[in-house]
Amino acid sequence: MLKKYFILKIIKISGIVAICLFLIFLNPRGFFKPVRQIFLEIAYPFQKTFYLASEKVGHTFEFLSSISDLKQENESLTARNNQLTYQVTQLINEKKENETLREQLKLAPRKQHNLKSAWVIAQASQGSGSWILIDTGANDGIQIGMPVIVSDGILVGKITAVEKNSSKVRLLTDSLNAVNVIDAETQAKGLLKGRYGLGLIVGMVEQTDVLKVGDNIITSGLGGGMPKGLLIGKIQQVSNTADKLFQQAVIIPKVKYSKLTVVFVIKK
Amino acid sequence: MYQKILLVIIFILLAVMQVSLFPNLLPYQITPDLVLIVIIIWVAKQGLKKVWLWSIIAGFILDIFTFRLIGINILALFIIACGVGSLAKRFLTAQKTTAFLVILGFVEVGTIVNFFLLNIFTLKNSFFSLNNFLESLFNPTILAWKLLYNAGLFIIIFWLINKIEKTFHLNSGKLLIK
Repeated sequence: MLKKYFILKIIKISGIVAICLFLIFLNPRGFFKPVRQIFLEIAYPFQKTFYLASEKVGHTFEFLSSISDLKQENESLTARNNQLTYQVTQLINEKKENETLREQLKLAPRKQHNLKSAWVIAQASQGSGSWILIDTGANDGIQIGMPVIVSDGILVGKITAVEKNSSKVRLLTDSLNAVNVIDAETQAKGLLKGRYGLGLIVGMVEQTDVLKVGDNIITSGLGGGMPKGLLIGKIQQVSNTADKLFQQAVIIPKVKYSKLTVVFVIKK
Repeated sequence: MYQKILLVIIFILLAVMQVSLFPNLLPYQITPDLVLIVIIIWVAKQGLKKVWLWSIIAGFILDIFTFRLIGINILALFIIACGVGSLAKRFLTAQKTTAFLVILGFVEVGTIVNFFLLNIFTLKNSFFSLNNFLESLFNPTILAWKLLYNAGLFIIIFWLINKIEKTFHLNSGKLLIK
């Protein structure tokens, strides 16, 4: 009798585990999308409230913990300010030269794009990919595949799922992301990939191309997915792949993806 | 019926808090597993028979809000609930301090199991080499912070539950779902 009970229990547990594995590996596309839509619609006001409230509290904690660093930072900023004042006078002359170079490199200024601003209302925790949820969706004309930037043309990710009033943005640091990029200074072409939320790496760079530490990495516009000229970050380290066929470079992003609050979607 | 609807609403709120509230409150954007802790405490107090279905529902809600493939959190929470359910029968005693430490142990072990299960299924489409896969799977820093946060949150939730039970003169029997 006891044996029969155990066998029944094991059969039930195995059945549930089998169903879960079926759902995970076969991943019936779109099957649960209406359900997810309903849940996200219901939770949207709570998500926005919680996220914004926690952001304020988080900033307070950060400020309190940083008080000891403030004096040191103040001194270094004062010195930096003096240096920058001198540089401003030089930059006024270099402004004209910059405009000519920008035209030559065909960088994409913000005036050329139709932008929709959005607040970040949720983000991934460690280990679940790199994504953020923003408070704009299909009702505002957002579509899957649209690039997402911050401030002056700094790329952070692209739209991968759209609901009525919210959208999911997959960040560049997600391992599923792949963007065609070039070195802004040397024009070396490569493929930018995320590293499980931990950083960015440019790979598939030919050995004949030049990559230098400190160079800016921008989108190349190849493949049609992203506009050309969106800034991503700077090269921190250059190395060869294990098979020595290609070069690769570790990139420091221009912005901290964990601190995003307002982003802009480039509407096509 | 109303109790069941209320429980679904509670799990939705817990999942929303896990995804939207905690990332900004704690360092490194590592969030505690709020839903997992609640399920473990519930299984330890009530037994697997009454809680197994709710572990599946909670896992489903968590999969919705974390944008994971449907089934990952369901599987993780269900396996952990089964494990806690069978171990609780052997190790859980009526003595308060021992019960607290045993359930804390369940939470820490559950955190580790949950961490590996979620990483294994999330990284199944790994592009990089085995080294990179293993590096992401066995990240000790993230795991250590998660263990710390979950232990802290467990202490708060356990204290709250005991306070509520004392204030409303509830015992484990009266918390049953009909």
